[in-house]
Amino acid sequence: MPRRPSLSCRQFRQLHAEYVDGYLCGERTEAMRAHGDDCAACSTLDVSVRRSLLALQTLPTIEPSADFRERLHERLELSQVTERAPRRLRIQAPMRGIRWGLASVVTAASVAFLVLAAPSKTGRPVSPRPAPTLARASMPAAPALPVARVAPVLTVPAPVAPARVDVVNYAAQPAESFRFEALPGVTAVRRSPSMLASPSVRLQLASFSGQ
Amino acid sequence: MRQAALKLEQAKPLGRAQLEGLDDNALVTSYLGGASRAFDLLVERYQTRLLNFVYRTVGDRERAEDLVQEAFVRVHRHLARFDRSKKFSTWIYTIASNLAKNELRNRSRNPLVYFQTMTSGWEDEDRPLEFEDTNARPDDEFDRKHLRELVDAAVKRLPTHHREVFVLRELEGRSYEEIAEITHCNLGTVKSRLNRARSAFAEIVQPAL
Repeated sequence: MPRRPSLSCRQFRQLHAEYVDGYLCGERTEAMRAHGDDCAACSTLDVSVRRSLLALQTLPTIEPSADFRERLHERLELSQVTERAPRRLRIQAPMRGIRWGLASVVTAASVAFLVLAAPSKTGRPVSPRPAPTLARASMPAAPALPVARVAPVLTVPAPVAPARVDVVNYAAQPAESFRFEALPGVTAVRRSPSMLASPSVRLQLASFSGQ
Repeated sequence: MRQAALKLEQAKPLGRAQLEGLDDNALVTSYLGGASRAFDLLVERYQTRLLNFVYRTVGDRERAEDLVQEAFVRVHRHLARFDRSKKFSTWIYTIASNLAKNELRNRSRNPLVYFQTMTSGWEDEDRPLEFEDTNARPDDEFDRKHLRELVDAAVKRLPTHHREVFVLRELEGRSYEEIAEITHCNLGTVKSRLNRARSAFAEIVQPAL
């Protein structure tokens, strides 16, 4: 006669949810049943859990109030109106790539020009090593570069680039990465907590709201 | 091809009967393709379920309605970014769950505490007196009403983390994997919490059965 697999009380309790829901394999189920036959405490637990779960069927289903849909439609309309307003502040994600791409091209062109224009002392071709100071000078200053013409519409002065990147990164994030940190009474939450932490972004928002 | 499909959907407005036959993800596609009724249908499908889930979690019916509405607003706002390879129900439940948890977190910081959401440990002195009343009347309706109240109170008394898993499993019928995704826990934690929640629930309710 084959020996039935045995479990400890601890194992019985750990596996109990799956046992009740029928998710255990045949051998495990048999082991749980065998332990229940042998252990009064675990058997009592099993019976009491099953019976109490049946009592859940007495719970009534709560229906939404009569004006639930009407109020929801009002909120949706308000949300759409609110959503349109802050868009002026947001830099569209593709613009970031265009700006940095143009900046890279301008930098490379500046370096190449200087290298080719500079006379070589030895007569040998000069390897195009970018000079650090020159690279800094060619870093994009927003008002001076052509990229400023294609800069997104901002109603406030642009902050330093890293802060702007924070804004853009947020706008490009997929919905699943949002943490829906909700507070009662707060609406139109398109701002992530990390974005609000950035002082320059707070300044942007404050300027926009006229504070 | 996707654009062609969307254009086709725009060209032929779907009737309500046709929309009702679509699954959730297809409704999302239809809505984004211009079928405005599709979102109403999603609301209709989930409003009661979400309301019951959130109500059982936060214990306040009015607030639960506000939170469910907020969940729908957020779904509507981010619908275009929803990954349709995933389950819509998991997504919307996750949003509702996060809102409910934030609500409870804010309440715990607020000096005005809602009694329904007090989550004390399993101490005998915390049990309300009416549960110890063993004078059972023969009237069946009274017994059923009493049991309903008992069960309702027992669910509310569960610790927040256990209650959430318990409600999602026992009342909403979510799978362990879905619960793990909604509550941002691993599978082992879900099973452990479910075990504890069931034991705690049985401990309260069993004497009355």
